[in-house]
Amino acid sequence: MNTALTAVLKNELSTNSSDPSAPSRWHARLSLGLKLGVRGTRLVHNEHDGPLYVQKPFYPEGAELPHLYILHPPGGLVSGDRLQLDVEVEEKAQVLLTTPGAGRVYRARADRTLQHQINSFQVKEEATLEWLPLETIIFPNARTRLETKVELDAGARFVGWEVTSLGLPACDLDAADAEVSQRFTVTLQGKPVFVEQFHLNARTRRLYQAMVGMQSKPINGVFVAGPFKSDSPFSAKTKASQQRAQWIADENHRQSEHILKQNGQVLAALSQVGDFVVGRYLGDCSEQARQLFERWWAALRPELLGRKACPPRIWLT
Amino acid sequence: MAITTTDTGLLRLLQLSSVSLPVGGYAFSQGLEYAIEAGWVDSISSAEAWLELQMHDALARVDLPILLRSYQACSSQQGNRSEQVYYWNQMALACRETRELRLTDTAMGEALMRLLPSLGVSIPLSEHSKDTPEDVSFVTAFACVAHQWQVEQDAALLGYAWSWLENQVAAATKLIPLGQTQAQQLLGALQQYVPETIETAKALADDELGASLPALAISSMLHETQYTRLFRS
Repeated sequence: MNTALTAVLKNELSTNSSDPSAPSRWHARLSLGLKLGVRGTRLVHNEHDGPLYVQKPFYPEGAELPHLYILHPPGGLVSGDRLQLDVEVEEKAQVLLTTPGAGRVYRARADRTLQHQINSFQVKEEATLEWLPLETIIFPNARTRLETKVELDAGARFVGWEVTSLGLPACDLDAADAEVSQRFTVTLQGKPVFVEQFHLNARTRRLYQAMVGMQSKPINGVFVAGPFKSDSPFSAKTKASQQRAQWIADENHRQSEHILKQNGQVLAALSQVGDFVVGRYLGDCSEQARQLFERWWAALRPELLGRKACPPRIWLT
Repeated sequence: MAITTTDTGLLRLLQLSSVSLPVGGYAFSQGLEYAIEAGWVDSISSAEAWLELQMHDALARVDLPILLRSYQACSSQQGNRSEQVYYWNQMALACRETRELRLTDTAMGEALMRLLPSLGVSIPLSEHSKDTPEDVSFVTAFACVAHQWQVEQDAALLGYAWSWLENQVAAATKLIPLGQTQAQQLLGALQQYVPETIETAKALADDELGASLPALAISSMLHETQYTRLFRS
């Protein structure tokens, strides 16, 4: 992380102290709808309530697939805040969502009311959604629930990731005392296909240091892409699925070599679980996690969406 | 926790939780083999820490609460029993973080399903899998058989936890390696956590189901592509 940003974050931390006399409770909500028409995918519904919005769609890869930047000017959640993002991608429409800044969950106020964020994505038949946000930074002593719910209809596809930073490793700020409940689920035609529930609280605190848990590494990332067509058990593997399996094996061999040589500084790996490719990062640098996930996204996007990777411009600035 | 059971229920429970049940649980290390390769587990005490946390943060949050719900679905008077069991079966599979962990569950589930007709047992999952042959989780299959054999619900949870523990300790014994006496010490140390694990499982709400142990998942993923290994992946 660059020093200017570090300074800003340090400043934020000292100014965002818990002051119960000035409780600002923001319930912000943004609801988006995307629809495919003759001129491509349009943002046909864009309604916000509170400081959470999209300015305008960008079309760096043509009319079919807009890139949307989700803006949240307050930059973070304090006690009692609730942020809700609902996105509906209609039949055959496509969209890529990202965020220009890291999400923050600040230190809780004395009342410890929940800091709650809910992302709810509905992807209709043959539609696609990419959810590629920057990391969420959880400040010490925060109390938060973060939920991302993806509902896919038949033929719909999804790529997404979430990177969570427990504290700010660059500032030596440790948030292992935060209370975090993070839920990430994907359903396909109403049937659960991916469920991840991370809990860190007084009862499960040990998992932060445990070898089987987080090995004292503050940045935890999870990556999900799919569904990839499964091979029928009665026929030979398709070329695409063979290539994908080989790519996963090569990537894992490379990651394992690093782990065994460098004593497990950064842990990362991939697996195909059912029809979904699931990847993970556990380390101490959000930027490194994001770059790794971006590389995985670029490798899988051609097969899943039939498109080359087109990184949102904001990533390059 | 106190468990009451009949003699028949207890005998059936022993049969269902025994390592002699031919479902092949001994073939999987569930991430442990890579953890040993990486040096994360290298002794009886590090094995205990590795497994104990899994009992509290994975077994108590995925396997046991889903076992409980599948068992209850079997005795449900409302709605379509096989649909309900099937839903929990899907949930069990969706909670598996890697291909290895999912294969452990489905390979054992499939083996148990294959055995059932010869034992004269028919469970709601058998009906469902006729129309749409899909993967069966060992957790749901175990629950249905336990229900059919009139094993008490709490006893079924205990039996499942025991068989998971026994498989994992056997894997640790082979891999670390540990002596037979150390293996018994490890079993003794870990079984103390079983009642607490079951209590946690029973207190969980539907929307709290699920787990995440990041290093376990990574270890299991890397086992899938480990060059030399004893266990299946």
